[in-house]
Amino acid sequence: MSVLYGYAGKLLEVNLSENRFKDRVLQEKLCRDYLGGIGFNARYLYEQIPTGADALGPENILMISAGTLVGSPFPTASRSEASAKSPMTGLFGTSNSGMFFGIQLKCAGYDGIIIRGQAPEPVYLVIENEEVKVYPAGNLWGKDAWEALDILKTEYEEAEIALIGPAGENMVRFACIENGYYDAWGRTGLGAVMGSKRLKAIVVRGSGSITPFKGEEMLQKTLEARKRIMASPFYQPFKSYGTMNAAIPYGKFQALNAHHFTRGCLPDWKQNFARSRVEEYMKSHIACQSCIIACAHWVEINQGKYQGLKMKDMEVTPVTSFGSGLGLSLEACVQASAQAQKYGYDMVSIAGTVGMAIELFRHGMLTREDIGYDIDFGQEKAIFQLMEDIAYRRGIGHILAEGSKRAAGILTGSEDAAVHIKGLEMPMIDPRGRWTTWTLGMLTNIRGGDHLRCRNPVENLRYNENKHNYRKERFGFPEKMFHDLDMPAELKARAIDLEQDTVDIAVMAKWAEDLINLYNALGVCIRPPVMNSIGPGILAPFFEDFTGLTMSPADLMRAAERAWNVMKLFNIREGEKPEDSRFPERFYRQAIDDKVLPEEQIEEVLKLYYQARGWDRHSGQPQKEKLEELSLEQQRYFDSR
Amino acid sequence: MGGFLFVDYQKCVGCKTCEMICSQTNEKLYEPFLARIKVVWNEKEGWFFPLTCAMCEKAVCVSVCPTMALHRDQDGGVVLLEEKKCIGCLQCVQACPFAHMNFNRRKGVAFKCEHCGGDPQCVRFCWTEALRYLPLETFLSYRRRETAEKMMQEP
Amino acid sequence: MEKIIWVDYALCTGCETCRLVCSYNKEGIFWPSLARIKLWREKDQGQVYPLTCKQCASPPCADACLMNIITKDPVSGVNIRETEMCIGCRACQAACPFDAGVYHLQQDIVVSCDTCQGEPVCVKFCPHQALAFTDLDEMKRKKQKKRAEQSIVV
Repeated sequence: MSVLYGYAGKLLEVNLSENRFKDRVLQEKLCRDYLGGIGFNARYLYEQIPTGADALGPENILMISAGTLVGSPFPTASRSEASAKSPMTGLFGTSNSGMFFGIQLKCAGYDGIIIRGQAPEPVYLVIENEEVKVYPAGNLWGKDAWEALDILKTEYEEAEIALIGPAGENMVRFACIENGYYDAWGRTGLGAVMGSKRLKAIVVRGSGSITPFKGEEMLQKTLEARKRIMASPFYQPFKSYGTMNAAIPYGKFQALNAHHFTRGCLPDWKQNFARSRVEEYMKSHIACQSCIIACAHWVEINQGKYQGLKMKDMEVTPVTSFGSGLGLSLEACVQASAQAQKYGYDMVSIAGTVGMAIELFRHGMLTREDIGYDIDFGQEKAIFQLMEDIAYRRGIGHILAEGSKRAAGILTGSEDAAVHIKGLEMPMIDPRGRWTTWTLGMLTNIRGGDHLRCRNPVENLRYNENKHNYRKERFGFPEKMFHDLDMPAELKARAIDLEQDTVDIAVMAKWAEDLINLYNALGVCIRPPVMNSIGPGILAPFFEDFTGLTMSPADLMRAAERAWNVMKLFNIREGEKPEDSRFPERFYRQAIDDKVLPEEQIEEVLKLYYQARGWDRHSGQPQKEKLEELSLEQQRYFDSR
Repeated sequence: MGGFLFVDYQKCVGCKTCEMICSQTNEKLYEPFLARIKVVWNEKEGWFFPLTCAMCEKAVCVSVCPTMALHRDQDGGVVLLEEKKCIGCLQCVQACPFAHMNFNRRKGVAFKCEHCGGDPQCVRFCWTEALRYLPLETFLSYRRRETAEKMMQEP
Repeated sequence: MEKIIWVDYALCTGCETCRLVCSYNKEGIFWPSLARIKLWREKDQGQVYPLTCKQCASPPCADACLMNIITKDPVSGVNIRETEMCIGCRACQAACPFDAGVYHLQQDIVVSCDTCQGEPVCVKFCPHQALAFTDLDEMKRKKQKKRAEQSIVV
C-alpha cells in the first residue's frame, strides 16, 4: 500500500465498558471511497451500530472525525464531524464544528475517535500524542461546561476539549457536545449520547506533524483558492458582519420563526436587531483554523442589565432562535446563549422546546401549577428558569427534556405545538415566508428539521418570489457568477436557467447536499463565500497535492454522494418512512401574510428531488441502479473486533 | 537594511495560518511545534497574540550563546542561527523574553525565525494584515496615517 | 517528555541551599564543593547565576572525552557518565561552556548533574522557586502566555 500523506493514518477506538483502546489503521480504499470526516463516520456507524439500538444505551457509538484537509492551509479547513445514532430522531445524528479540535486531533496522531460502550463511573478521556488515558471525572461531573473547562484548562494548557454540560449528563435529549467555551457540535443531541456513556470530556493535545504530498504546489493552490473566495460578493459582508447578515432580510420576507412560528416577523425586529445595534457590541473578529473570513465575533455587552457579559456570540442561529423565536432582547439573547453554552444545549432545540412550552401555557394546556411560574414570550427570567429546569430535569423540565416530539406524546393534545421534522426542532426559517432550496433541504435532510445540510451555493438574499409553483427560485446574479461557479457544466445548465433567471430547486438541492457533504468530509466550512466559489473542481487537485490520492472532481462528488446514501440507508434501516419528510401541520393550515404551504406542490418538488437522487418515492430506498453506480455493495471496511 | 516583522495583534483573528505556512516552508511538513511563529490564544477571553522573533537590537539569545551559533547577519539586521555550531544547551530558549527561541528535539538544535531570507512567508499568507514586513520608517508612517484616520473618524 | 532544570536568574538570591542539599543527596555529606550545581557570582553586579549541566543535545563534553564515557540517556535525555571508567583528565571540564562538570576531589573523577533520576533535590528545596524542573513545551507555553498577557492592552 502506498503511503497516505495528509491523513494522520489511524482511528482511535475506545471501549469504555472494557477500558480498552485500539488503533484502526486507515486503508487506502476507505480513504478513496469515503474521504474522511462525515464519510468515515457514516460508514463506520452504518456497519457497527446494530439495528434498533437504544440511542442512549451502550450499543450506540459516538464518533468524532477530523476533515481530511484539516492540517492544510486550505482556507477554512478546520472542521470536524461528530456522529452517533441520534436520541432525538432515532436516525443518523451528526453535527459539525470548527475551531482547533480537528487539527489537535490530527497532531495527536488520529483522524478520528470512536467511543463505544459505557463507563461504569463518570470518566474523562485524555489523548496526548498517541497516548490514551481514562481518568475518573468525579470532580467534574455535575459542573457546568465552563467551570469544568476552567479546571481542565489549568491542567491541560492549550489542549482542545470536547465536553458536555449538565444537560448532557442528565441525558436531555437535545444536549450538545461543547467544543471549547463557545462552540459546539450542536444538533441531534449528541451530548446526551456522550452523557449516556458517562464521558464528561475528551481532552486532545498533540505535537505531532502532518506531512503533505506536494507542499509547494499546495501553497500555490491555497493562494488561488483564497483569491476565489475573496472575489465572492458575500466575502466582505461576512467578514465584517458574519452570519448576522441573514437576520434582517429574513425578517423582511416575514420568514422568521417569530414567537415559535406563530408570526412571520416581530414588529420591532428591524429596530431591535438593526445592524448598528449589533455592531456596537461586536468588538473583534475570531477565526477558526486557516480561515480567511473570521465570521465569529467577540461580543461585549457594555450597557443595561447584562453589562459586563463577554463571549463569542451573535451568530444568526442563537440570535434568531432566542430573539425571534422567544422574543428576547438582543442583550438577553447573548445571556441566553451563555446559559445554553454552560448547560450544553443545542440552541435551536432548546429555543424550540421552550417555545412549545410557552405556546401550551398560552393556550392553557400547561398551567402555573404544572410549571411553577408564569411564562410568556419575552419574559427573560421565566425563560432562563425553564432552561435551568430542563437541564436538571426538574418538574416540567423532566418532560420537556425529552424534546418536542416526545413531550407532545406525553402531554396529550399538544401535538400541534411541537414544531419538528422527524423529531428535530426546526430552525429559524419559516418555509411559508420564503421557499428556496434551503427550505426544501429541511425536508430532505437526513438529520431532520435542520437547515445546514442543503444550501443553494448561489442563494440570493435580495429576492423572495415564487413564480414557478415552488419549483424554482430566483438566481439574480450577474452572468459572471454563473460562469465562475465550480459545478459540472452540464449540471449547471440544468440547475440554473440564465434566460429565465431561475434556479431549479430539486436539482440544486441534490447538488447542494452532496457538495456540503463533501465539505463536511474534507473539513471545509459552508459559509456562503466559500460555497459560491469552491467546488469539487478546486478541491480535487488540492486533495491530491495534500493526500497523494488522485481523485477527479467527479470522484469526490461520488464519494460525498456515497456517504449521503449510506446515511439514508442507515435511516431506512432505523425505520424512516418517506412520509416523515413533512412539515408540521401548522405550515399547511395557519396562514402568515396570507401564505400557507400548498401540500400538492411541495409533494411535486419532493418527487423531483427523489428523481434527481435516484431514490424510490414510495419506499424511500435508493434504487438498485443508484446503489450500483455508487458501488454500495455489502462490502465491509471495518472488521467487527 | 532589511525590514522588520511587525505584529498588530488587534488585527489578528487567530486563524493560525501563519504557523502552518511557517512550518510548511521551513520543515516541509505541518507541525505546530516546529513553526517559528506562535499565535498565543486565550479561548475564554477571546484574544490572540502572534509571537515571533523581535530581532532585538541587544539580543539576549546572542549574548547567552556559548558557542557563537547565534549571530547577527552582516547588515546587522537579522539574528541567524548556525545549526552546525549549536550544541542544544537551550540557554537561548530560556533567555528569550518573547519565548520565541525554539528547540527541535529530532535534530537536537535550536531554531528561530530568520525572515525566510528576506521574504517572510507568514506575511505573504496573512490576510488580515496583522503581520507586516516593512522597513521601520515605512511602518511608522503607516501607523501614523492609521492613527490619524482613526482620530478623524471619531465624532 | 524530557524534563530539564530551568533557572530563573531573577529569582535567585544566592542562598546556596541547592548546593548543600545536592552534595548531601549525592555524597551523604554537606560539602558544597562536590555539589553538581554551582553559583557563579558576578561581584560588581550583585547578581548570582546558578549553573548546572544543561543536558545539551550534542554535548561538547562527550566530544572531548577521551574514554567515550558520556552518553545520552534516550528516555530522560540526561547526559550520563560511566564514572568507573573516568580517568580524571578533566578534558570535559575544559570543553564545557558552562563549567558544569565538577571535579570530585576524593575520587579523582569528574561528575555532573544527572537530575537525581527525575526528582532533583535542588529544585525541591529551592526556597525562592528560582529552579524549576519541567519540560520544554510547558515552560514555553507559560512564558508565551505571560508575554502575550503583558502585551495585550485590554
